[in-house]
Amino acid sequence: MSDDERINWGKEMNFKSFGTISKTFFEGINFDSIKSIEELKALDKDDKYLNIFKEGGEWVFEPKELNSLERFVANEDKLFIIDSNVYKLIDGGLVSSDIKLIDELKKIRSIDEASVSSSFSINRVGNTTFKSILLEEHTYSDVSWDKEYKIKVWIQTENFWAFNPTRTLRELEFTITNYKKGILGWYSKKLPTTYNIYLETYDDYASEVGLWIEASASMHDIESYNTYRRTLVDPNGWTNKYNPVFSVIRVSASNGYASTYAVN
Amino acid sequence: MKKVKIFTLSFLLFALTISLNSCQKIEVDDSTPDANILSFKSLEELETTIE
Repeated sequence: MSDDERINWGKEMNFKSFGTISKTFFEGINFDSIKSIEELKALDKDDKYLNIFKEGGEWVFEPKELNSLERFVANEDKLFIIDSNVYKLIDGGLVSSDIKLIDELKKIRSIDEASVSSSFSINRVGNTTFKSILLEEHTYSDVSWDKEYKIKVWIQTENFWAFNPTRTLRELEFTITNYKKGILGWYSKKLPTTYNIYLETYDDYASEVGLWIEASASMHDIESYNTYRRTLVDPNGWTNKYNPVFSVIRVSASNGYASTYAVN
Repeated sequence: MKKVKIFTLSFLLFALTISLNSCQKIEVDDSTPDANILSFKSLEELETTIE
């Protein structure tokens, strides 16, 4: 769904998603005039919309849940419903509960907090220290010659708990993110991006859980683009029998200022 | 001496006003209808919606 299609869809549904709210908030910030992290944090007093973190010793700023596909169907409290369960996006992760516990789930602030209660299920781990899934991930990035622009490609393959019903899935996923340099650090920025990505994960002992993903585009106007493919590993619950590893990595991406390549 | 004090205070007040006006403030329009939560029958339906 393009930005325009999504805006029209939201209007038709009379729905304002968390993704739209945080995107609007982020685009209202002038990163070329903010001079301190405190000044930036003061704009988002309740820590709802702005993701601030350090990567390679440099500050990076993104709208919260930038790489969660569900951000445009989640409401302002980051909630949505599937069947009789309610789900909450938390730092790229996904936690669920029975719909009767919606008020309790609304209060949960971290995956770690949810993991200590039997009332909640962790459906995706995201950016937390809590790890219970198998994965292999890599990050490839490049900065333009004048150090004003950056492109980053993140790839991952993992086995994870799926939900409703509980089962193990293998996932292959990548995210491309563009950045511009502000006074304090890098902030995500929409740029016309050309990319060609082929990823494959194959298990010698279980070819049926092998996966591949192929994506290419020319001048795709993106701030961040994430896509994935999934396959079933075990229909009956959690298994770590088959380790997810990349057998083929071919990555090429450019935003006109910076370009990154990787081949294994 | 009193005039100098009044001038200094006025100047500080002026500088403070300029400083506050230059600070960024982002207004978030998060006004949403009641029961503003989307409901899907299945994960597949959700994925079709967001693709």
